[in-house]
Amino acid sequence: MKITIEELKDGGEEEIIIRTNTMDEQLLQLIYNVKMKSLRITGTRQERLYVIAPKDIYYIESVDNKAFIYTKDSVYESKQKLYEFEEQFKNTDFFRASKSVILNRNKIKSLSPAFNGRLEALLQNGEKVIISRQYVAVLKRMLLL
Amino acid sequence: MGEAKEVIKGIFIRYCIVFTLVVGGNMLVIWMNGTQGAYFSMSDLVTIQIMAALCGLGDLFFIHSSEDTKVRGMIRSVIHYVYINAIVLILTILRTSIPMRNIWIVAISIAVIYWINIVLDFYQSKKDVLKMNDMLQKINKNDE
Repeated sequence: MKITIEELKDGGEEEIIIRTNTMDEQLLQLIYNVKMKSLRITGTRQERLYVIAPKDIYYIESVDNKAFIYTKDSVYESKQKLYEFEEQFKNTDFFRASKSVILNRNKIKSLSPAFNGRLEALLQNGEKVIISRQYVAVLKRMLLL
Repeated sequence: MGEAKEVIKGIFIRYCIVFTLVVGGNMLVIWMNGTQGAYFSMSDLVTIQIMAALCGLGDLFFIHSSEDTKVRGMIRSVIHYVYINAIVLILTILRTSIPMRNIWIVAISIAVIYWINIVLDFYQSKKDVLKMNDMLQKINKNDE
């Protein structure tokens, strides 16, 4: 693989171009890593604005037309809609777990079957999130089943 | 689109399970009773297919659309069970020659088939969960 770095003059926009014959697992992982590092999510807590790294987000929940971002110990409120987060996190480790929740796969400690074809996800901070029946298949595909 | 495919797949699987269990259950009863010359007519098979299809479609409203709390989910399941009973018993009365006094046998068959379905669903879910937990452990180990 050849890597070329060109220094921008006059403060132009940074850009990464990948030239490839075929998209493989390695390239997808590279794109994902770059995407996740460059994404910055903002949320407010106690009237202060915070910048949250996606890797710290456990899940995002929509309640009463507001989105709440849950990290290990804190909750932040965001003005963004859930579908906007879904678009931002496309092709990352985040997936739609139900109509009102987007979940970070990397924060799932274990799964157990719940009532009516649903799954219960135990997160690394001890919280439990329900994955709806129609989104179980999405998680299955992510885990390569 | 992916979700629609999963729903359709789920309905089709439900249809196949119901059809197989109804035909299998009836054949078992016929064999146990030693009924001479008993067989499924084309009309019987059509009736069973209609039953299985309507039961499968019921999943659309009662299972796949549910985003409920546990209590509401259980209420929805009870309504689903009543719906299945209504479909099967009405079609049995209208399209078969089973006498009314034997309808209780059909009701028990429905209960048995319904619970076999629930158990099969649960074990499939459990199997998938074991595989998924294995994958999650590997992913979490790699990330450490």
